[in-house]
Order: sequence, then C-alpha cells, then structure tokens
Amino acid sequence: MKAVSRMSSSPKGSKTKIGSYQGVMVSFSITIGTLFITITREVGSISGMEAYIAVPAAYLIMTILLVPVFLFSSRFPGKRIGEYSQTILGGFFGRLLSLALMAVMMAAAALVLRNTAEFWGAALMPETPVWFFLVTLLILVIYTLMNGFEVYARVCQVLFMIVIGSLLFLVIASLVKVDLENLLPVFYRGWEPLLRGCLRVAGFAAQYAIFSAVICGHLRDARTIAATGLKGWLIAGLLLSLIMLAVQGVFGPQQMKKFVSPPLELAKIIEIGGVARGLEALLVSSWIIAGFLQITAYFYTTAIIMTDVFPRISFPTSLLIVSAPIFAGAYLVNDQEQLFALFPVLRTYLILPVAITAFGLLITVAFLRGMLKHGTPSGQKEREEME
Amino acid sequence: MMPKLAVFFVILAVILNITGCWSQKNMSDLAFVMGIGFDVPPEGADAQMHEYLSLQIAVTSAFVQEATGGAGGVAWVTSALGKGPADAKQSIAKQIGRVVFYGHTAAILVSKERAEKGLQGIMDAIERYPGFRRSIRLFIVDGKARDVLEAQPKLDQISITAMLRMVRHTGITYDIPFGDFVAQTESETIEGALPIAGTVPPGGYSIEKKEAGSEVGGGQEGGGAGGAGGKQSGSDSSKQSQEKIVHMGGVAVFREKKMVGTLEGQASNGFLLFKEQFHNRIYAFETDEFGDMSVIIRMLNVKPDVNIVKGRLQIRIKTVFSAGVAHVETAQDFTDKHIREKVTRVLAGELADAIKQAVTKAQSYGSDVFGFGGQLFRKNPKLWKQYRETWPELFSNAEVQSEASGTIIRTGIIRQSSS
Repeated sequence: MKAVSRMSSSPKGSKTKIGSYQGVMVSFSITIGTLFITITREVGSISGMEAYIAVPAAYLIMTILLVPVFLFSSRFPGKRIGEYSQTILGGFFGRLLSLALMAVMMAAAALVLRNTAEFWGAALMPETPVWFFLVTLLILVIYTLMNGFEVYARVCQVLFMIVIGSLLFLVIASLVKVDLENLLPVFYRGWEPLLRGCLRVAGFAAQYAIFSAVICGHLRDARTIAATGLKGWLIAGLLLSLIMLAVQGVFGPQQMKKFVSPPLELAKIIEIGGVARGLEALLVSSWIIAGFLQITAYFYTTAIIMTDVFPRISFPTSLLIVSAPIFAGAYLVNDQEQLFALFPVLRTYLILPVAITAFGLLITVAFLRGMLKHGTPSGQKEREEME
Repeated sequence: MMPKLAVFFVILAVILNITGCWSQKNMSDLAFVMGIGFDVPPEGADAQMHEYLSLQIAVTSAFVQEATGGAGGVAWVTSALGKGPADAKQSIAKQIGRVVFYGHTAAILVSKERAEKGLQGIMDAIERYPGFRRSIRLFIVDGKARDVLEAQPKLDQISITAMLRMVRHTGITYDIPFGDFVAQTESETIEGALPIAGTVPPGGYSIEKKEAGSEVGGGQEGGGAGGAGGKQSGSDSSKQSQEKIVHMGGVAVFREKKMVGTLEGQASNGFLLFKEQFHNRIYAFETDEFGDMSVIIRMLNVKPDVNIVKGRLQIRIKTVFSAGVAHVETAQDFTDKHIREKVTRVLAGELADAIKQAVTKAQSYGSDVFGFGGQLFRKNPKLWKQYRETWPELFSNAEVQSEASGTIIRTGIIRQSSS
C-alpha cells in the first residue's frame, strides 16, 4: 500500500518498478541502440587496424565511469540523479547540475533522432522526406512514454530480443567472409590509434552512466543495480565487439571508414548457402526498432530530469516540452555529413566532460559532507523519516 | 463526445490521404536490369558524351509467353550515351518508359578498351547507388560489352545468368565480388584483377579461333575470346553476336583502377592457382615422360613469403597440392610407387612454373595483383612503410622463386592403363 501511495504522488510511471532483467534490456536501448551503426565507422576511421581491439578494450576500461552511479545508487536507493544531486549539492546547485545533464542528453537525443531518421530513409525509404520519420518517431516515443516506464521496459524486453538476434545473425552469417588479413598487423603505429578509439567509446559510456543514474530509481531491488548496470554495459560491449570484428574482418579498415553504415553493407552481402540473399530489409527493420527504443531512452532521461528539477511540471508535460527542442535540433541538422561531424564532438567534448565533472563533483561533495560513509543509506533514512 | 469527434476526424483525414501505398512500385512499372555494359562511345558520337552504357533488361512479358508456349526473347539490350555512368543511365530511362530497377542486377561488364581508360567513374557510380550490392560481379570483356549482353547461351535464358553460373558453380574463372575488387584497387598493398569474358559461336569455337588467327589453340583455357567477339562492331554485330555464347578466359590486371594488361593461358592458370581458386578443375600439361597429361587439382595451399635483401625484393612461393590423375597419353602403371612419385614431381614443376609465369607477367605490368605488398606489411610494417612509395618498381624487379610439392591422391577408378 505504501508503495502504491508513493507511486500515485509521483509523475505517471516515474516511480514504476522494474525487475533486474527488464533493467538490463532497458540498458541495451542506450548501450546498443543504433550505436553499432555509427561506432563501427567512427572507431574504424580513428583506430584503423586496431579498431576491433579498441571497442572491447574501451568497454572494459570505461566500466569505471559506472562506479559513481553504483555508489550513489547504494547510498540513495530508489532515487534518481536529479533527486540526490539536490540532496548532496543543495537545491540550487543540484538543479543546475541536473539541468546540465539534461541539456547534454537532449542534444544527444536530437542527434540520435536524426540519425535514426536518416538511416530509415537511406536504407528503406529514400524518397520519403526526413520530417516524416522525425514526426513518426516522435509520436511513437511520446505515446510509449505516456503509458509509463514499465510499458517501455516491457517493449524493450520483447523488441530487443529481435534486435540482438538480428545482430548475432549478422555476425554468424558473415563469419565465412571474414578475411584474417584484414585484422593484422596491429600496434605498428603505437598505442595512439587504440587510445583514440577508446576515447570515442568513452563518450558512449558517459551517456550510459547518466541514463543509469536515472533508471536506477526504477529497480525493484536496489541492490541489483551494479549487476544490472554491468550486464547491460558488458553484454552490449561483447555484442558491439563482435559486430566490429565482423565488419573489419570482411571489409578491412580502409573500406570500413568509407561506408555510411558498415553493418548495413555487411547485411547486404551476407547470404546463406547461396540461396537466402537480400536479407538486409529484415535486419534494417529491426535496427529501426532499436533506434526507436534508443530515442525513447533519451527522451525519458531528459523528461524525468526535468520533473526532478521542476517538480511542478508533470511528466507528460515535460515530455511535450523536451520534444520541441529535440525535434528542432534533429530537423535543423543540415545534412548527413554535419550529423556525422556533430556526433563525435558532442560525445567526446560535451557529454564526457559534463558527466565526469558532474559525478566528480557529486563524489567530492558527498565525501566531504560524509554522505558516503557506511551505515544507513541517505535515501533510506529520508524515506523512513517520510513514512 | 469531443474525443470521439477528434478520433473520427483523424481517421477521416488518414483515409482521405491514403490513396495507395507509400512509395509504391508496381511490378508492371519496373524494368528489371539484369546486366550493365560499358563500352567506349562509338565513333562520331558527341564528344561530350564520354560514357556508352548498355542495359540488359528482362522482358517480363516474355517469361509469361514462354510459360504459355509462346516465343520471344527474354532479354532486351538497349544503349545510350551520357556524361558519365549516372547520366547514361538517365538517358536510357528516357527510352524505356518504366522505372529502371537495379535491384536484380547481377553483373557489370566493361570492355577492355573502356577499362584501359580507368574504372574510377564506373566504380564510383556503382558504389554510391544503394540499389547495387557489393556481391555483384564485374567482368572485363574482350570485345564489346554489349555483344556479351546480347549473347544467347544455349542452356540459360540470359547471358548474365550463364556467366554467374560459370563463376559461382563451375569455378572456371577468377571469382571476385565487386566489393572485394574495390577494396583491392583502393588498397596500397595489392592491385585489382578481374575475370575476362568474351563471346564465341556455339559449337564452332575451334574453327572460329583458327579463322581469327589466334595463336592459342581452340578450347584451351585462358586463351581469351577476343578473336571472335573483338572483331564485331556497331549495330552490324548485333545479329552475329546473338548467335554467340559467352566464353570465359584470362584475367585482367589493374593498376590504380586502370587496366594495364592481361594474364592469359598458363599465366592465367598460375594466377588462379596462386589465389587457390583452381579447385576441382582439370589442369592439362605436356610431359616428356607421359605425353599429354591431365590432373584434377583437389587441394591447394599456397604460401608466399617476401623479404627485402640489399634493397631487392625476394619472393618465395611454396605450393602444396593434392591431385588426381584424369588422363595420361602413354600407358602407365600407377601401382608403381616410383611412377606416382615421378608424376608428382612433374606436376609440381608444372604448377610452380605456372605460378612463376603469372608473377613474372604481372611484374612486367608493375601490378602486384598477388598482394605481396600485403605480405610484407603484415610481416614487417616498418619495412613496408619504408618501401611503400617505390613498391611497383620494387615488385617489377623482384627475384621470384616458386616451388611446389604434393601428392597424387587418386588415379581415377583404374590403377593401370591398358597398353
């Protein structure tokens, strides 16, 4: 009963609880999403021959960015970053920090929305104007989130199995076409290409850290946050590493950076037994679904942070508010090349520094204020007081 | 009441706007392109029109006629000039009156003459267009590409289908998808190569070849088909070429997307051996001890090794094979171990020699189609960096050693020849 009353006092679905498995599937929306479409080209062009090493290495190293999320989740169970940042930094600075996180995620949402629309148009419907895809995706995203976070979690639970299945199929079907000569030699240019590739993936880790800091409040059992978060990150890392390996093994680093979407090109050449060809339409359809789920995750993150910063704004209203700048941002991108140029700039020079600064600041202040000490978690204490 | 009214208007608006499927393409509105040919523009054509493009279009109504017992060609070839491949495609669309659909295009043919001018523009147009797959095949035509598109094979309805069958199933020619060829031509460590096709009259190949004055005997693989196809030109050739069938032979060698030469006969076989694409094929050769002899190559393992000694490239190629005897001119007893060893030695020498001939011929073009540069790059990236700029010269002056060893695993279903 207590849980029910707590839910009813919050914005619709903002305190809905989900299981650990659902949490992992929701995590995939950010950690996989449509990342494989861009990551292969981006890391491939930066790291060259070492690209297939850079992706798994970066996913392992960047796990460190998730540590603050797990730490705060254990200290403030059931709370989101928009809530505990105000507890740690105080109302004004906490809100300021939340707004900064909201702004960067909003910018990322705009680019991801446009990227999915571009991919949809380029791969399946080249004669359709981009605004059609933007509006369609926007309507679908808002409709899904209006029905609550649990609905979104269940949608992820069902649809991401299809996406993961399509990616695994792509990897397996392309194995026979992999040329090992495309994977060697490595490190002949030193460590720099590998590290630069890792830095690019770090931007993804920062996005995931912010998203995790928001959805951790939804986990039914707060103790599972570390396991859930790590599963969501590392399984995605494994899958993207396999995709990277397949793409590089088939095309080689030189061709890989030339393509708009290397996995799409891979999907176009795979065949089974010389009979089943032209399967890319099926695969691409599932990838557009992944794009929709990814955009939904960004929308949810920005909208829920807004309700935390401005408690008077209801969740549906905040959804509508954030959708305007996200749509405008997506629509205002001039062309594909501008989009591809903006992605790395945003991830590496905006999201990553903002996330590191935010979590660094929170840890420092929380430590100084003694909020990281062992004992009763702060959130638990407050909830007990409220009850 | 208001929500119901709103829903009603939304449904009404949707119904009124949906007058058909979005971006619909009816089968009857499409012209299915099966193959594309590129030739040099005919003499007297507008000098601004650099591209002469031919499309082999499936006549869909002919398939229906054939199924119902009617007659009529199943493919129609039409050509147009244009300022580049994309413009030429647009020009053809003006003749057709249907939406030109490239989703089923399986092969692109380029005449030797056109390929010698460079494939940059053609490859760019193919790569950019989303309708083409990277698995389509690219062929160089000894003669006119249009003639091959018009050729009428006896066992297939369309020449392109016959060509693909030759590549994919019979394995008698160099098999390389378009995407891999692009990768080769853009790589620093290997140059591109493509299979050569041509046309010959059905059933009269040997005679035709002799009449054409070819030095290569009729029926010999890799002999090239230029004698027949190359002599035809313009619209006069159309009727003749329709009575021809497709013939595969030889390998076109490229340097930076420009065709610079061909590997034919023994050199062509050597190239296929090096690429380990000479599987389950007859390899015929002449020996002093056994007379004319043929073997079926069952397994190949070619290992090249490169080294630079005192500024000179040294290439060593080691080939391991297993083969079966298909034919011996003089009676032999293969139960005798010494005979088998002798055959193995002779065959090893033949294979090693064929590979060496292929490399030597490619050296004369300065085109490393074997990827020795890649070998050096993987073995010693720093050394490669040092020599990459002068690689064509280094390759041309390389010292080549080729050796082979193997076993005769079968002698057919008899062990001794009857004398």
